[in-house]
Amino acid sequence: MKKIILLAAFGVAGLVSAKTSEIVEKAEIVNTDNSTKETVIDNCYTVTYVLSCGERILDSYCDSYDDIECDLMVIWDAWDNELC
Amino acid sequence: MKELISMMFLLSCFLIKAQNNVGGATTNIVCRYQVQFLKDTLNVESKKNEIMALQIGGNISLYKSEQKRKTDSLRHESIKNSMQNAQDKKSVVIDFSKIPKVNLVHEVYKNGDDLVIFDNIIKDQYFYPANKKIDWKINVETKQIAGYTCQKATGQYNNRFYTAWFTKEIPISEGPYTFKGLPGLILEVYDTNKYFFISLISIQRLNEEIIPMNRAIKTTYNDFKKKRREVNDNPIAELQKLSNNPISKEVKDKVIENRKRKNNYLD
Repeated sequence: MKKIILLAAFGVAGLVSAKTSEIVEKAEIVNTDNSTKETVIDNCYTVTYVLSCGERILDSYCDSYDDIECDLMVIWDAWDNELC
Repeated sequence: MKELISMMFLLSCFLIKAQNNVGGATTNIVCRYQVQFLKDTLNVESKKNEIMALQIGGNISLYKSEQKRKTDSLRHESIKNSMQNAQDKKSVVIDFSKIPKVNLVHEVYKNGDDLVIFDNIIKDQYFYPANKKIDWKINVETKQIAGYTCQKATGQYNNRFYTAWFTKEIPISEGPYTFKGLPGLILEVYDTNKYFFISLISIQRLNEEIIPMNRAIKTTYNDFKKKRREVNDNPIAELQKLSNNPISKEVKDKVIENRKRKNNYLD
């Protein structure tokens, strides 16, 4: 029994330490997680981006609800940086 | 039983170490800097300001926009409201025009001797190692900044020459952006033309988790520069990838005109 517990402890420790240290690796882990994320039900929207200089960009967006907030923020930024 | 306790202790050490390394590091000190810069070096009217925070915790530090965190939180709230209102009619208005804008999105993460720069091109986030160390020349000249006696140092980073003022009264070899490696904290740094002028506004003891930008793509500085040049040459192609609708000629012309005015990069 002791040996099994010890083995399990080493296993967990190995898994945790494999998650490791460097920011480089951290970012890669995040990337991997995102790319394998399960897609939920698709939602399609008509989107109006109101930019900081008053410009309006009309577009459409279809994706899973999980990602939409982040995506819309990034897209707004891209338009705003290029136009304002 | 002894063996088991020893092993559990060993395991907890591994767990603690792993936590510290993956974004679990905490800050002891936060230095806030005001960054004044020109977006377009040919136009003094294009001057922008940003408050950047340098979080320092042992060998680890992170330099990033102070505004970004506040802005992100307000934006999340705004989008949530828009989405809730849009559930039935499928029409969303994303209006961040009243939320303060972040003017500098780059971040610099330091872990020991390793420096990593995070930056954006259009919508993609990249990170690359900053390999070039600044070969500082320390001068005898001194001046007072915020009550600290600061000493002058000069050095070259990429194509620009910088003057830094550091204080040995705060013996931390840290500073804003990639300006580090002096025998004290850098309180002020600027390039010869003062296209970038960075000055300390406060130092505070604060326990805060150090969380760098995530979802970034690993690259090299040369590849990053190459990608940025491609986007500068043809920003419409990149923007069209974001849009499901064709971009009007009026918008295209404006984007191309604005891109020409962005010519001041700290890297």
